[in-house]
Amino acid sequence: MTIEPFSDRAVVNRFSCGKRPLDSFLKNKAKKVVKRCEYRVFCANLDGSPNVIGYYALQLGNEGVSELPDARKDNHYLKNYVAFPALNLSFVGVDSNYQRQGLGEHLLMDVFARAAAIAEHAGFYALTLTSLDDDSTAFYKSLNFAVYSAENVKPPKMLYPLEDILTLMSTV
Amino acid sequence: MSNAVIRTFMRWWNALALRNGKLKFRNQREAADFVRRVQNENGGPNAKVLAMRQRYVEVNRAKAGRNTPRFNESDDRAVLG
Repeated sequence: MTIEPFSDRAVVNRFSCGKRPLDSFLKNKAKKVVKRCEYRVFCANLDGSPNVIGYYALQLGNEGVSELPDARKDNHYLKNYVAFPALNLSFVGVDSNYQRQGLGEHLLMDVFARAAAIAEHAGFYALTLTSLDDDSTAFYKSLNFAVYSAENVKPPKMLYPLEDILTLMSTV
Repeated sequence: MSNAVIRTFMRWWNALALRNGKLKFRNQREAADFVRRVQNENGGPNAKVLAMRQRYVEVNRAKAGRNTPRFNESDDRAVLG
């Protein structure tokens, strides 16, 4: 199994993970957004096969404070702080034929490794994501991801500190 | 529309946004504090993450060794990670 950057060679039309937004992103949008450099998409394939059995999409982003409550320009504390820098795991999906085999965990660890590599070139606080459903929220919580959106916000936004990722890289 | 009306509307709008509460922090400094607090509470990667990382490293090491990743390497579970 290999994980490689999305390319024209990737066969995505057979991919189905059971979650329509995730399937739709890979099939209909991945090619376009990669070309525009909006996301970087990485695909898992078996033995050099072009069929995608899992993927994830990363984007460097932030929570712009202009979108936050009471974030007016006349607030002095905002003048020097314009963003919350983060690496966003925007999409991650595993084909239904390959679920419950550890591929999702493998992809997440690949994301961690890539986050550590990115951290050598750009500063950010954490790996962030928006949990898709209750099951994924429970999974991420079991790894110590913390919810950083307010309690009433569904689906929750979660983060994992970059420092913990770097500690992990140096430990194992 | 007068400035007073706009200001009143903005006050109401911001109060509403605050009540709806999007995130647990309002600026970068609070975000940094939040992340630091999470990090301290976590006390480093937990056992589950460590085990996941260990499996990831082993799979990559095996792949580098033989360059032909396989299914069913050790038991009934497909070895993917």
